[in-house]
Amino acid sequence: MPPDLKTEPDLETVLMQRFAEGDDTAFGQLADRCQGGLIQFFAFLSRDGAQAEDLAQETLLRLYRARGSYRPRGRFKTYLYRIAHNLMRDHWRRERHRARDLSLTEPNRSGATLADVLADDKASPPTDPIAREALYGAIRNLSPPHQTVLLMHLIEDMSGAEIALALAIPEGTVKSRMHYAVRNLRRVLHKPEKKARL
Amino acid sequence: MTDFHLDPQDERLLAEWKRALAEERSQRPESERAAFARRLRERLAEQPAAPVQRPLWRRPRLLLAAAALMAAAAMASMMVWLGDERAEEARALRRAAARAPVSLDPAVVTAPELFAGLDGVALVFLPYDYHGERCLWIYREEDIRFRNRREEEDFNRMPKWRAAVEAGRLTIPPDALTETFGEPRDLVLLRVGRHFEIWERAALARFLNQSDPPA
Repeated sequence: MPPDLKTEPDLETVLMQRFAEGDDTAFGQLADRCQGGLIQFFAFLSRDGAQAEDLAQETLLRLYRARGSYRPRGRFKTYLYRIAHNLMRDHWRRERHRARDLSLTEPNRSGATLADVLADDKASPPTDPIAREALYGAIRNLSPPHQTVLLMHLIEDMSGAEIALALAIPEGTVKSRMHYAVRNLRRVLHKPEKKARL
Repeated sequence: MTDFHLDPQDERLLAEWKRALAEERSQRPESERAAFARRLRERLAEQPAAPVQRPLWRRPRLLLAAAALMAAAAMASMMVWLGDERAEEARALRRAAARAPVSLDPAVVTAPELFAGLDGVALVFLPYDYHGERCLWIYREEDIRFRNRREEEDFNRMPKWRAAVEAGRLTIPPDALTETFGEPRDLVLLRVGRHFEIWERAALARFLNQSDPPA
C-alpha cells in the first residue's frame, strides 16, 4: 500500500506545498535541506563529484518546474527521488552511448583527459578512513538497481513502500534488492576470518 | 527497525552505514553548500516562471463551476424523484377510476362503504392542478405531513376547506366546489388510497385517455 499523508506531513512536504502555492522562499529552504542527500546519492551512482552536483542541481530545477503539478501523495522525498532516479537513468543512457567512443586524449568538461584522470586516480592517496572507503567501494561495486535501493534507504531513510513508489516497482522487488545488497556488502566488508591451521 | 525484515545483525549494519553516510554529509563545508545554493539561484533566474498552484478556495471559477454542477445534479435527481412520485399518483388514480366513481349531485355524498371508518374524522379540501386538469383533493387532516418548512408555508397560503363525515354522509363545502371548478358540472368522487379526489367527469376522461404514465 502506498504511504499517504493521513498522519502529519514531514517538514519537506510542508515546504513543497508552500512552494507549490507560490511561496518562493520555501524552495530555498527545501533546496538547502535536500542538496546534501542528492549530491551523495548521485556521487555514488555517477562516480563523479562534479557530475553529482550538476545532477543534484538539475533535479532541483526539475522540481522547480514541476511546482504546478505537485500533489502531496506521500512523503516529499519519494517525489524528489523519483525525479532523481529518472534523471540518473537518462544520464546512464547517455553515458552508455558515449562510452562507445571514449578517448584517452579528448578533454572532458573540466579540461582533463581520461588519461589524466586515470593517472590522478592512481596517484591520489585515500583521504577517508579506511573503513568508510571500504564501505563506499563496496556500495559502488553493487549493480545500479541495488545501489539505488540501498542508497535511498541509507541516505533518506526511505521505507520499502516509499522506495517502491519512487522507483515505480513492486515493494517485493525493493525488498529482494535490499536483501541482496546488504548480503553482498556484508560479505565484502565482514569476511569471516580464516581458521588457523593446526 | 526497518520494514525490510532483515536479520538483527544486518539491521545493525544498516544503521552503522547510515551513520557513516550522514557523517560525511555533515562534514560538507559550508562554503560548498553556499556555492551550490548560489549556482542554483543563478540557474533559477534563467528559468521561466513556473506556474503556481492555487488552492481551491482561491479559484472562484472552479468553485462556481463545481457549485453549478452540484445544483444541476440535485435538480436532476429532484426531477427524477418528482417524476416517480407523479407517475405513482397517476397509476393510483387510474386504478381508482377503474372502479365506479361516485357522482356528486347534489354535493352531499352518501356512501357508507366509501367512508367506512371515517365518521368524525377531520378532512381537508385542497384544490389541485393535476396534469393540466383542475381537481379537488380531500385528505385526512392527520395525514398531512410537511417535508420542510417551505411546504408548510405553501400549504398555509393555499385556499382550503374543512368538513367531516357524519353517519356515512359527507357534505362538501360549496365554496370548495365553486372556487375549484367555477360552475360545478357533473362531478365524481374517487377514493385513491387514503385520500379522495373530486373531478369533473369530462376532465377525468381526458386524463384517462392520455397515454400511460411512465412506469
